[in-house]
Amino acid sequence: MMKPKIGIRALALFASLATLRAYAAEPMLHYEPAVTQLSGTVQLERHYGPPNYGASPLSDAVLNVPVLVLDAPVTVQGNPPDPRGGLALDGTTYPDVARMQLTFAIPGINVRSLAGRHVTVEGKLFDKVSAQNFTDVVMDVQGLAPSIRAAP
Amino acid sequence: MQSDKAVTQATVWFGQPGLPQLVVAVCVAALGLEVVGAAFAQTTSTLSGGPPVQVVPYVTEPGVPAFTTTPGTANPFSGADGSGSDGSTTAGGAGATSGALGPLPDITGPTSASTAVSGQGTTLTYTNADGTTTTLSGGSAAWRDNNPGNLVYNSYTQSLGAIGSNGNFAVFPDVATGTAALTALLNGPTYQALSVNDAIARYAPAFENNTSAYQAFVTNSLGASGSTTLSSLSQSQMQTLQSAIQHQEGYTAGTAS
Repeated sequence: MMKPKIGIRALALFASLATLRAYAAEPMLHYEPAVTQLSGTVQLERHYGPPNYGASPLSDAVLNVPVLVLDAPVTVQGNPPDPRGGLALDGTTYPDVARMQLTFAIPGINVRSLAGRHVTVEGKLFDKVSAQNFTDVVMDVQGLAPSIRAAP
Repeated sequence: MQSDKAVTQATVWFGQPGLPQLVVAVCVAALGLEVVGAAFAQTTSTLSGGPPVQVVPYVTEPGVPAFTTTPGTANPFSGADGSGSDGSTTAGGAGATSGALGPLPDITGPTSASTAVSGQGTTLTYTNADGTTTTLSGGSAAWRDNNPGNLVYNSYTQSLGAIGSNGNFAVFPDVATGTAALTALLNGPTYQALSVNDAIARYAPAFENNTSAYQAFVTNSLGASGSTTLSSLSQSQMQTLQSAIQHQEGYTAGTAS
């Protein structure tokens, strides 16, 4: 007589646990002003740039874009809407972020020297905003160190 | 008595006494682990030495000293990159990062208060407020999309008036709305807190070694140093910065019909 109720309750309990597990499975990061540290391997990706970003491949610039392929995917949590009615910059949540474009404000960084290297970078995350942001989440790098993967 | 009542209650839930305690204990333990894990996962680090966010630790590569790059210090990756021996070019294309600002693009568009857009790539058709249509072909993406800053399409640009997308790019009803969107971005709290150099690095990142040239180009145009925050710029300097971005993105008219 009670069995269907028991089944539903048990199912609800396990569903709750599964949901919690999914949230806890990968790190939850936040956009700026939080400073974030990530490890991964730098790849140089080629993308079309101005003026037509691939729509006119013969005349468009070709850009070598540094992208960090993360050791483990992360979730980046969008900012809540501004209670004062502000606009939702950095408002999107992205689960399973495995790649992040790196930007460097420091002049003269030799992007090519980073290609293929395993590094740890520190900086601020922001939601893509311009055509020259090629991944959903971009890191404004403030610090960088070469590293190797830790043994499992 | 209390215990009997609890067991009875548990029996109602799970059917058999003995098993429920075990199940409840396992669930509570699992829940505790998940909560602790989630708490750790949300920890953010700081430059002052807080714990790393990512759970995978790292160690310094043998034989390679660790270093940190910070604004204002020497570049640890000495030997700038060159212009790309494989034929690749730098962001902005030829002429965008050298010399004077040059003639600014004529930022006027052929559409006005359009309500919808269709098509993609190099041809877009706008539905105007009066029901007529205007087709834009050729030119640059910034012109076709009424988007001089080439902003991407997302909830932010939707809130600034974007009526659709062309690939990843936002499409605005007219060039005035697109220009206002770029103005809003640059005048928002996030960009206002950035230095000129930081803002350029984000908007048009370094892909080779061109950033310093582009930064010099912009700061010369502004008459301000790269470390000046956007909040310190005058209205006319902000206008110049915006024009420089539009220049960098390329704004070339095509054919309107």
